Amino acid sequence: MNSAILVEDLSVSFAGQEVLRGLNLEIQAGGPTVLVGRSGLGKTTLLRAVNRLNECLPDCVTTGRVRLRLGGEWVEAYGPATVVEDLRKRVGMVFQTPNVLPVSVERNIALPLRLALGLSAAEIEARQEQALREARLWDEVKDRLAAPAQTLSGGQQQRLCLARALAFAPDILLLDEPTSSLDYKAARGIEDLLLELASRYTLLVVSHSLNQARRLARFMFVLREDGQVEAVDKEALGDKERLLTLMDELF
Amino acid sequence: MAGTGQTPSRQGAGRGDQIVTALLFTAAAVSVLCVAAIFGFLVYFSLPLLGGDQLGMVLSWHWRPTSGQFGILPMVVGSLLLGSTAMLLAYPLGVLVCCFAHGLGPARLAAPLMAVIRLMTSVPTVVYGLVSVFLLVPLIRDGFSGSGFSWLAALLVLALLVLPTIVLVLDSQLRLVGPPLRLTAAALGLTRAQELLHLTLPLSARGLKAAAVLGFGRAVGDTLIPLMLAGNAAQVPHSLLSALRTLTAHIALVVATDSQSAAYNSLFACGVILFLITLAVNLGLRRIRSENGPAGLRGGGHA
Repeated sequence: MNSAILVEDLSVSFAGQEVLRGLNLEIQAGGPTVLVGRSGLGKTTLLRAVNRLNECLPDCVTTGRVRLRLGGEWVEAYGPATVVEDLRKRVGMVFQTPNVLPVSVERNIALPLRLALGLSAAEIEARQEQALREARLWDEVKDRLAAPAQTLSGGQQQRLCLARALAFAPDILLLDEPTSSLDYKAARGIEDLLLELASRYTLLVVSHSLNQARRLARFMFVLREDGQVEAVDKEALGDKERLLTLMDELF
Repeated sequence: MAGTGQTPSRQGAGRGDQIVTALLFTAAAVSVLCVAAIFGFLVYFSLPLLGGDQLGMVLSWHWRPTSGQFGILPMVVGSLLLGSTAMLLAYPLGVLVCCFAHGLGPARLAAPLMAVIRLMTSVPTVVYGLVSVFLLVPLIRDGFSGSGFSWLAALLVLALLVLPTIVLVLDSQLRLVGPPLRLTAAALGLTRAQELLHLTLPLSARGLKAAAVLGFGRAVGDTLIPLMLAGNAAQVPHSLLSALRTLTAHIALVVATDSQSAAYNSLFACGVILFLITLAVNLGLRRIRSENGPAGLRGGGHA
């Protein structure tokens, strides 16, 4: 098997309140790997431990080890030699609610590319179109690239956020309940897209919906009440009845 | 019938809302009326100046009350020069202080820095003036030439005086605009400095302008600092080391010594001009906002 993310003995606490304790997890390349669990158990915290985003929140203490396979090499996420910004450029993230920047559609992609990667205008333009096509948004926005991103619909905004993450050509994509603020049709559109993207990126998706998890997951983990994760085996993943029984036990 | 479905408690809440609305409306109306009344008062008292050759006399370059010359133009120039040079120093400094406190500097220094800035607002102006008379003025006198009471002395202290206004106005805007961008910017691999300089600051155009308007208003409106430090010669200064007199200091000086003559009447013109200067700056900046759009980030260019 080909691992992409290795989590060892990870504990995360906020203001002394422990959210994750001694967690171990191995995520395979590709995927999608779906992480399910009740709300409030720390799914988002686990996801944000991978790109060290928890550090941006007040009074966060993280211990343990997270290793990521980036560009064919293993990188210690919390190693002293790791530059956190470089790490985040290679580990894209899509948030639960669309977090477009309050600027135009094209600036949403161009600005981060220029600032974080220092790309030329021509390169930015090429990547922008490619990413918007990849996120299946290009046809809808190609005539309104200069319009404020907030004028797009919720589903379009979320696909713009996905395009923005894809434009970085990351090794790993973290998706935190990426369809929870969307209607059924828009959600299914994103799901199809993710299945397609899994051939090129390592996808780690947090979901609160079992149905969605079944549709998406090639690998599934359940985050339990005691802060531990449990893998759902392959056979259970294919068998709806067995999966439901398992969920009842775990939740 | 409309409204019959309302419960008594909802009606009560409605009445409460009405009272609050009425109170807020009254407060707003009183504020606007006060400003209008002040302006009306100033205009009314300067009206006599508009007749005959009085206006030409006031809008001239010589203030020699003993020989019947009441020109206030040197003071208009003095106010504009002192106010704008103080802002030229204080505004960039204020923006830098804000940037330092919002991510460019070490996080542990941000809170003490802002505490010092807030403390500065509580220092009485006269204390700044007094300390400067004994510390700054001799320094300028010894280091350069002249008496030390100069445009330079006043502008340095005035810059210090308006700095907290600029910093606190901008700080409150950055606190509003910054936090929603933080996680997004961090997840995109931007450094705190990039986030601040390329996202938060450009999106805080409103605060940047408000800080400029309020800072300039404070700088032009301050009386004690120019009165105590600028030397008060009614002349157009030819260098940073020469003395100047501002409109505010001029009003204070004349009121303190005279209350009957034509000199006294010219003060109302000074008041009107002071009022118009701050109004013009305010409206001018509003115009920039509506022309460039709120963000200044609109439009496509990759720069």
